[in-house]
Amino acid sequence: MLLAALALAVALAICGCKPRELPREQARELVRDLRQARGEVSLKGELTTVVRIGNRYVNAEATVHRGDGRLQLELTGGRGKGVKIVEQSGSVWQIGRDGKAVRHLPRNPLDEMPPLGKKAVVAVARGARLLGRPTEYVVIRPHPGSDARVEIWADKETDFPLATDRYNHAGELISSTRYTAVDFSAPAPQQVKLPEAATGHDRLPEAKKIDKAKAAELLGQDPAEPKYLPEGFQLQGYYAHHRQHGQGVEVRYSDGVRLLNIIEIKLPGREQVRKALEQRREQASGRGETTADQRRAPQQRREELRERWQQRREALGQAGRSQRQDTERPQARQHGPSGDEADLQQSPDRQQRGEWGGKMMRSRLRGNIIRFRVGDLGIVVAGEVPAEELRKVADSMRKSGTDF
Amino acid sequence: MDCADIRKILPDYTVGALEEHIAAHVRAHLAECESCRRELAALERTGELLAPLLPADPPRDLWPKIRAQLEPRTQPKPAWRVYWKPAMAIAAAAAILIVALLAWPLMQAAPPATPDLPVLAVAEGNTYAEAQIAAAWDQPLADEASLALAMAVIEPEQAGEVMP
Repeated sequence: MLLAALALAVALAICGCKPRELPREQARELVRDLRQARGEVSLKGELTTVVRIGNRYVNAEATVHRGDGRLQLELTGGRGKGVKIVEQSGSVWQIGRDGKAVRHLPRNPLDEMPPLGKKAVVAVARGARLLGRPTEYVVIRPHPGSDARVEIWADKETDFPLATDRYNHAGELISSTRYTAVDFSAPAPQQVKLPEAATGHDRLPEAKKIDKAKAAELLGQDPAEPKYLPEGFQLQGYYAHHRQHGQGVEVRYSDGVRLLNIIEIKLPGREQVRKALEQRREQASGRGETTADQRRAPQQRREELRERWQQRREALGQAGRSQRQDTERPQARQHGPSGDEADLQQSPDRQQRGEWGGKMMRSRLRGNIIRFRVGDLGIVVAGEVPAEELRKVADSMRKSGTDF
Repeated sequence: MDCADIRKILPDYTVGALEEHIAAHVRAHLAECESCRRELAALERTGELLAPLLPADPPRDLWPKIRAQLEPRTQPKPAWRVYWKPAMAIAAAAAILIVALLAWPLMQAAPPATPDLPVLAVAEGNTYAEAQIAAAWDQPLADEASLALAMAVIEPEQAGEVMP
């Protein structure tokens, strides 16, 4: 009799917690509700979050106040303590510890594309009580059998996600967030006056949605598009990236869970490069005429770089040296001067150049990266897909291109 | 000790079964009590008459044979066997209740505890993380908190520097 009771309980447990797959239309509706709740539900709360950077994890605590499309988040513990994020008026601003803006990302919500990928599957089950509130457990996979997924514990009353986990194609955790306190009775936050840009960021980096014609205008030719896409991926749109040192076009694909970003940059033509190299050689040897501005440019650039690293060093010094002991730039620490001095001596792009070309790089945030050149376009393919899939995408874009 | 007490233990006294200090009390009493001396003498005469009639030692296997016949019927049951039926029912009901209470949390998918992972940073140069953050923020089910942390960790000047 005892064995029978135990078997019954186990059977009930399995039936109760096994997620059931939703039909396509119900799945779309659920995801739409979740997205809406994320944007509109007002709350004040506290949370802990973990994100994978490269092969390591970084965690932090934060307070959050959100509602009506506005978000105000402050990192209160862990790495990044003191940094604030403000989302309002269709943009996301990162504000440094000194109160100055250091990054600006215009939001480009997916209004036109469906929220789910072509082959995405959504399953639901009864979730555990979180913060005393019943939840619904939702699992979204880009296609059946995929290890990549998003797991959400959505509050039953408001549909707001109280816990979210994301996993990559290898089933490794990419990010995890848990609300540790929440007050749904709080009103939405008010708009805040946005700060001025921090020194050295006269034009903050931004990404803005554009159409294909504008993308072609920026690149001087039609954007290159892959002939092969991993299962379930669809085109999301074209985005312009403006930075201090130039601009590029991103062609973005998604399967509802993962992203595939193809960033294209117009490179100087070979004739231009040849002339620039010749000029540099002449300057070095003292021959040829150069203007005062041309002589001043490299020195100015070095000074700007030095000032930037100095600011960064000061910012890190305020955050506490103890967090940097075995973390930042371990290679530099082992082989020579201190981390910051090594940075000044060997800038990242120079370090990386020897590793580019043929080798797949590792994205700091998600997935892998392949860089190559086709004609006058420098192309970077980056995504949360297996390396082999990324290679197929890149190979479908380059016929006789060269890696760089 | 009075005569009534002494006479109760006189038979043990006659066969030497009393402890020494009690036997001393009996001897002291007998020295002063004619009546108890007569009782003792009668007991001793009775013993002498019965001595030839004492039973012989039984055979060695007699008791095991008798015990084998008596045990199933005469040996008392342990208390638990007397009450096993109602106790079993109560235990079974309690077991079902306990298992159900323990299994209830298993029936609800609970989020795993947030990994207790060391705070580390990665210093590989990679420009495109910023582009990926911007793209990820646009996703319908983006986790803004983790993306905010990624933005804070990935230095903007490093992120923007390499991308031409």
